[in-house]
Amino acid sequence: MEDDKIIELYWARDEAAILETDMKYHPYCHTIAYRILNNEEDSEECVNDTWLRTWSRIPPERPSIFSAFLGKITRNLAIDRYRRAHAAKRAGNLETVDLELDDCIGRSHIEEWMDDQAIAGTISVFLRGLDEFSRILFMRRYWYLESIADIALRYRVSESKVKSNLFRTRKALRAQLLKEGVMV
Amino acid sequence: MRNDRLFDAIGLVDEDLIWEAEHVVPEAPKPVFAWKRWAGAAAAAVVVLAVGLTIHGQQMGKKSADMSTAEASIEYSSEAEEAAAEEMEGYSKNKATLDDMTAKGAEDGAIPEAAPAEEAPEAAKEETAVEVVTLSTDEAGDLHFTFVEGEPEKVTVSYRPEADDETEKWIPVRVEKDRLMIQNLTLPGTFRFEAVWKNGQQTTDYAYYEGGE
Repeated sequence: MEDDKIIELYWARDEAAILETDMKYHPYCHTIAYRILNNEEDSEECVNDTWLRTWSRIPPERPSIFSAFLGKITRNLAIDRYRRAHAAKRAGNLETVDLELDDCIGRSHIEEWMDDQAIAGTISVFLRGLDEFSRILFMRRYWYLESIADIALRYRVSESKVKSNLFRTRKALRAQLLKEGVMV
Repeated sequence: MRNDRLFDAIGLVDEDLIWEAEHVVPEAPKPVFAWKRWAGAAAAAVVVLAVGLTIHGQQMGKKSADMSTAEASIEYSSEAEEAAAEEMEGYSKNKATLDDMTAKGAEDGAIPEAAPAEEAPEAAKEETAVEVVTLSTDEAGDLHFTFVEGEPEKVTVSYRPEADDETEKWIPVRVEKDRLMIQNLTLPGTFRFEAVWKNGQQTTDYAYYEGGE
């Protein structure tokens, strides 16, 4: 089914929307989750959470690129799940203290999210200034968390080429963020 | 800023970039570096060939003129000899000009049109991120390098840890053939390869190294 039609189902509050989304985007979202969590069960739960989150966000939202919209939700949910799991393992030490001290700074999650949005805007502009090859390599590595070996295989280039390209891009991004006053 | 914040921010980039990375297969940059180098050399060769052919043509013309003059002197008057002499004088002037050009080209190291051959590597390095040197590790764990385009006459290698990127401190690395004699590298970092090629060209290339390859 076309993305537009699936989104219409969400707007009509038709539960078939979730089935259609699952049929079409399960592999895509599962891959994103699995690369972060490296666990089949957790990844599966993460994908199911993605459908629920999507159900609660559409409406009022109407995503222009549905796959990217779903991918973003999956990625964020998987990262949250990963951090929670690792924070629990470290509970009682640095992680807990770190969280407590966050209160002293007085920054809310909303503020943090707004900061991240601003940084994301800077990164988006930076990425648009790159050549297509470098931009896609960067996204495959740092958005999709694909391994260097898989990226090299995907685009039929050597691993060292991927590494050197990413290295140059990271350096350039760092310079850009410093210039924008983003990095402290 | 902590890495996790940057990681989160990357997650919020524009959706068309996410879509592009999933659906578009980019074309790996062509080795412009090699193309420019060889194009420059080819341009120089063409110019040299053209000059050579012109001189050769003039010499053939001279022989022809000699024969014409000889025949003319037998059959016709001294006016013809004078005309032939003028023609020869013209040739001598032309040849002098061509010789000057060739000599000038030789002095410059190349005919003027060949200049891009020396400028090409630096310009190309700026234009694209093309791999010129590859690194590999042998069974003994020694690190080797290979120039994609062949073997240069001489290579000077140095290394700089990524942590020192802000500085210009490059640590010299001893080289045995294609083996990098390194110990206790701070990883990751960048190798710098300063090469001198058979045609006298000098290039500087970089290879990123994370270790363990």
